[in-house]
Amino acid sequence: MQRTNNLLILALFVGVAFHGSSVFFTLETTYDALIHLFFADHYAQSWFEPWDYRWYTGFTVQAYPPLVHQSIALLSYIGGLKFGLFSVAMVGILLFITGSYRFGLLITGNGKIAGYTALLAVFSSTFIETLHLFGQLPSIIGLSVLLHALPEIYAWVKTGKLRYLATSLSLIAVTVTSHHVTPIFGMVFFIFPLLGMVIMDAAKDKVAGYKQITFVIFWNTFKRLFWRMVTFGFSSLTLIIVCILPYWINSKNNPITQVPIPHGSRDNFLEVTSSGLVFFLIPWGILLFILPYLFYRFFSKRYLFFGLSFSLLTLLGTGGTTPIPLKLLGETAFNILTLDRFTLWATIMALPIFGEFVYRMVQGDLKANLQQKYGAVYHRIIGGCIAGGILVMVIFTMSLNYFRPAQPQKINVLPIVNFLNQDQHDQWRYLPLGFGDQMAWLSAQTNAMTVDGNYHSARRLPELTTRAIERLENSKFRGVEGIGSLQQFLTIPEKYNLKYIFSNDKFYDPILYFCGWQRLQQLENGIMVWEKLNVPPLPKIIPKDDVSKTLKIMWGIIPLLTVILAFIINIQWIWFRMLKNKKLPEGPFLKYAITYDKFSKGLIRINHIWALILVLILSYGIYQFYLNNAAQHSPKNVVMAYYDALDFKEFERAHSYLDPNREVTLSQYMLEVSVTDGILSSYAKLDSVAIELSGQTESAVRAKVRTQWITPLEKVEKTFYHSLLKTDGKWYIQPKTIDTDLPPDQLLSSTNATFYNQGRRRITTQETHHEDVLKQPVLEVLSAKLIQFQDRYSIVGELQNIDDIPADITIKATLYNDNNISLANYNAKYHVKHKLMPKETTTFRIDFEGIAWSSAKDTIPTTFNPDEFTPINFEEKPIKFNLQCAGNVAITDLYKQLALQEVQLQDGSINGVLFNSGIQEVTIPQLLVSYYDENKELIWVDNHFLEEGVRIQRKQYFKYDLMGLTDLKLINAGMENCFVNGLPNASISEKSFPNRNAKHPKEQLQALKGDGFEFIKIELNSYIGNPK
Amino acid sequence: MNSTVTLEIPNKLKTKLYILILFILFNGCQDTNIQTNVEDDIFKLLPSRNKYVAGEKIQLQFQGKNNNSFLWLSTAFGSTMLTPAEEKDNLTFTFPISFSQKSGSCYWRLVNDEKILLEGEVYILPNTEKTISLESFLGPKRIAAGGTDFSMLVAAPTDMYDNVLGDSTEINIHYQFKNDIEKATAYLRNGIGWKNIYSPHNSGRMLITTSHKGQSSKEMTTIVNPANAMDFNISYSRNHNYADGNQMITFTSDVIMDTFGNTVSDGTLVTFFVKNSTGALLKTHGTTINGIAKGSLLHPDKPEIWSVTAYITGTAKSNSLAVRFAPAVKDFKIGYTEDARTISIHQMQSFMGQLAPDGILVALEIRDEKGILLETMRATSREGEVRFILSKDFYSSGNYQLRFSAAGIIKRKEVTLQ
Repeated sequence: MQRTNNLLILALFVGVAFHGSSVFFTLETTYDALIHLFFADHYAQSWFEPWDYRWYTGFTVQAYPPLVHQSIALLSYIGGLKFGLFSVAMVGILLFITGSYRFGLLITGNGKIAGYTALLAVFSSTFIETLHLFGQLPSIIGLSVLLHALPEIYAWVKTGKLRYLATSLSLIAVTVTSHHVTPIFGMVFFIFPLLGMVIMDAAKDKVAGYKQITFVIFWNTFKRLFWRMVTFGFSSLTLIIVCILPYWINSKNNPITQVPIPHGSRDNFLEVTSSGLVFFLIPWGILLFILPYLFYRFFSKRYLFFGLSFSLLTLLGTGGTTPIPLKLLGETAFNILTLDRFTLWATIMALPIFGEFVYRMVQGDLKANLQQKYGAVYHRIIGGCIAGGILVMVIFTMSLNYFRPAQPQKINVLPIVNFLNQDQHDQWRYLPLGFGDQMAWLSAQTNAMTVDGNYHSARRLPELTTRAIERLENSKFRGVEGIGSLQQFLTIPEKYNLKYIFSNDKFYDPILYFCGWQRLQQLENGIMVWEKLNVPPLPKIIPKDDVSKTLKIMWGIIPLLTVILAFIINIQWIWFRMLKNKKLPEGPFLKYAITYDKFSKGLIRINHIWALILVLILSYGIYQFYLNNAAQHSPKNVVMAYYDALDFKEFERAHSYLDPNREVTLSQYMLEVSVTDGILSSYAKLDSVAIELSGQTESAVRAKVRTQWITPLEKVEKTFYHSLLKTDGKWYIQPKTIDTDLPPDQLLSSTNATFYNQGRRRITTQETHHEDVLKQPVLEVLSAKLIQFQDRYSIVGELQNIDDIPADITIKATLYNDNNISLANYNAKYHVKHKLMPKETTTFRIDFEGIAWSSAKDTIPTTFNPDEFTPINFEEKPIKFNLQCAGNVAITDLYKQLALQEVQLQDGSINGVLFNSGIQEVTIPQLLVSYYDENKELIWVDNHFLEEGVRIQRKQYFKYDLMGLTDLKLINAGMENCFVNGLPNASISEKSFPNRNAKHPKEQLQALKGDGFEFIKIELNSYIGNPK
Repeated sequence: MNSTVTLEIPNKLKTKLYILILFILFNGCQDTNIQTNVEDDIFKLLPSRNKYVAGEKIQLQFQGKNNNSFLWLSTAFGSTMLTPAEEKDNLTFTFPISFSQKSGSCYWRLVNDEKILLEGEVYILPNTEKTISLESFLGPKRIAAGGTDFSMLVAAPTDMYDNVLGDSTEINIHYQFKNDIEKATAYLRNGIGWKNIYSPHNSGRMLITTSHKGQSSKEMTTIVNPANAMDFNISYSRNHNYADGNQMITFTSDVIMDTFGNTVSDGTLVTFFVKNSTGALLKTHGTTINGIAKGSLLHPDKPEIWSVTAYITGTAKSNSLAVRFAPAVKDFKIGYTEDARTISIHQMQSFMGQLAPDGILVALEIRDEKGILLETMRATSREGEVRFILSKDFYSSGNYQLRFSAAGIIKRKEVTLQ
């Protein structure tokens, strides 16, 4: 028995050294760890108050069992939040290793095998993944404590000593308070088979061996032990309910009605290989090779119930690969549960059997068998392969985060925290973009609130819950739903008191600009702060869902109490049993250890064949991977490869596909690339490429390449034409001729009025001084109409800044029915110039957007379209409208030096050139095209983003396809409900602009007869990506 | 102290009420006269003033015996109960300073149990001797020139206890604009004095201050912006009059003024509309600095007559300019290699015989013998030359029709590719 302790101590020593040191480099970049840290911060600040205002406009932390969070919070009083996090992680590591040991001992009854189990647990890829990649601390702790509880349950059922009932229940209570799913499914998948095994063992006591157990004997034993099992079952059920009662009440009151969020573990692993890797290959790891042995052992009579459970877990863990898990779990459970946990449990369950295998391999009958049959060298090779395989999986899993980071670079949140604390910036909500899970760490550092959050089960706003997005912060990865949700928050930020956005991802910049946001400053950590004007601060009193005091006290006290009780009840047992097993009464399961003397020869053969098949499949997979990546074997491949290289901005690779005979050097190519800017080259992600080949000969072909690009603003479809030539057996793309146009001037000057707003001139924490409050610029609505176009309602109109200072404008429209009941409201999004110079006019259009796919019948399209529009379903016909315009002093984004030239009017389209006469490079030019009827009355406004930018003193060609407007219907052109800065528009018009010349706007129209219109007007708006 | 008193009252009242209820219960529903315990003492207010100045000590003395008597005070700021200080047969009530320092009417009632024995009113005047603060506000802080727009000045002088002063108190106002300093007076009404300060005809900065009895406000500013612009003239400047598609033409406005001769605000947007010979509208923008706006366009690349008008929409419009562009490139030559597969457009010479500036767009339409368009190739010139290659891989040998267009010149050729 002395050897057992050595192995366990070795496992603990190695485990703590390995995990304990590496956890400092991995845990903070995992998916979940920082979320738990945020929850811990909540408890550290207000232990008994479950409501947290900081996420989702307020949510309750009773949506997640609190033990781990409260433990971190408690420890944070000593050494800060991160100290708490790492300390709890260490405890988790210790509990897991000792838990595995005890589980191994329980299953096999053999101390040595249990020692091997503990050692293998240290290096099991499933544990490494759960801890170092996912950071699921509560899950680890819950599971480990459950493993500790299993021997106690066994002892209770077997012996009936109340002491064991107490120990097992105390441990179950700890499990419940640390993770809610673990005990519920643990009951099904661990405890039920365990009870089966106890009955088997008890039945075996009556007969000679397991083989003699018949169903009658089994049934009789079951009846004898029945009441012990029932006692345990009901007591633990009571614990599950009582210990986290507030959680259950909260779940009942706020059922998860949200649209399920896609999770990789539900994918078909054969189709989505990355999910297959993360949720199947890595957790199983080396265990895959000995699957036949695992099943063989699990389906021996003693483990029969574990075998059934193991098979079920394995099956459920395969996610959407087969339709069986969906049918077993049902639609709801399938879409709520993350199925990777089944794999986790299966692999943990397999650990003792794996330990047994290794024991037999290292010093048991398998070793003897292999040596006898294949020689000692072969045995060593196989042993080396298994050891090597384990190490490869360990290193691969640990390094996954290094090569494919799941998170953006570590962000120093201190400047952001300082920003929020300065100048009352925390009086508004903020939104981080492109932060990954580090947003949780930012939230933990500040008391400012965000509309976003990182625990999606607690989402409350319908804009979020009706869509399958985890966070707004990473919305670009969620396609149309993500960007669609984000757009709603950006377009009507007043609704959420959202004023500041911290952008860590340039991708979102255009959408922010065109939704009317402006850059405020770049923080020292490189994060760009965007702000929106005209957003009211948060009210002093924010609503919350309160719960009774009893529940609050329960929630605050019970979890840690369970730990203390478990400690008192178990300390002598666990502590001594762990280290000095001998001195205590042996576990009743120890006498069921079997001797290993005859390893089945058939099994060796089957396992060999299985391993061989696996190796073949793996090799084939690698070969396929190589083939797909061979670029220049066919014209299609080279075009695909070229666009792939462009998409990932690997210009050197892209250049290697260009015809070398055309002598475009790499440096020339890079130079050409470096001067192109615009939405396609800087903000787009390639979505699909369709290639049509024509006129193919032996050595040449023409390719029409239809590409679809996802940009933050809209989906761009662009067709490119390429000529391809074959030289020396490789296909090459002919490089494009480049525009040789030279700008007229080498050095140029530009003078412009620029503006600066001091903000508060007096440095004070008090309310802004009366003199420092700027007068809002006065605007005038020149026209506004409610228009029905096809099935949607819009408000189009024209607005002028009639003040003497530049204005940032916000236009909010509300629709009413005939009885003056408000039907919908929305703000102007893209179809307006948000910044106006003095006396500048802009046309605008306001669409009324609903929440996409809010009814269950709607099918979510699989393709991505950021510009997807969901019209509101009006129950009644809108008749009237109200327009609220607000002007605020603008000092940025006032570039007006874009000129319209070389306009050619054609049937159905306009060709033209934009010329940049100023000294800022326009990254995304926008055309606002307004349509007018025969009376020169505005009827519609459309917009068009140019795909490429306009460099200084250069031209950019554009083609705009005119719209057909025959379906258009004017509903109301009344201006009586138009307000500017809260004052009626008519009075402003009368006072500030009494002698308006109404002819001017009409003289500025372009006559162009088209489908439903007679005149048009083109206005220009320019987004500058890098203002200088 | 007051608060403890107010707390005790209800308790005492309650006890009384209980006794009363018990009494009624004992007596059933008999119609009896309920005797109160209060003796009908006659209370009398001892002579006192009914006007005080804020901050003075205010005392009311009553003749009479204390038998649970209280003085109830009520002002616009709130109410309280006072307990008396008893001297022999007199009850003396001293107003707390929170009441004696607030100007306005203060009502009092002498209460015994639930009976009002006496009531009256004292009037507290603001302490005009000790004015210490003068709050003034001015807004809006930007107005338009011309005498119709105005800023409103509001002043509220208060005494040391923050009491507003009485009606008709005089407030002196000074305002400075350019070289003039003017004086005006406003009178308080309901605590505040106000005056509308109408804008002068000139734009500029107006400084305003108020004073009262030696107390002055700080300096307040209102900016007088120019009024709406008047029509203006524009001119243009360019390096030459050739349509080379390369040089810039700049349109410049006069100094744009409003009706009163003020230069319009910096940053006012002026849009220059250009109607070209095909009737298409081109446009460029300029923002004013010192009233002058400039907008630039590139020369066209073919002969043109432009008609230019500038607008400040709704308020002002410029004269119309006619701008002519003479052709820069008059001709070009087309050259072929032997197999006719490389075609060069060359000798694109500009007005002085120099090579045309780089970037002139040349379009080549290739049609087959039947006149079906196969491809349109576009390229821009470099050093007066453009080269097209008709590769064997894409164009088999045969006859083709070619159409070249550049700088408004169109040429057609037929070639036979080898």
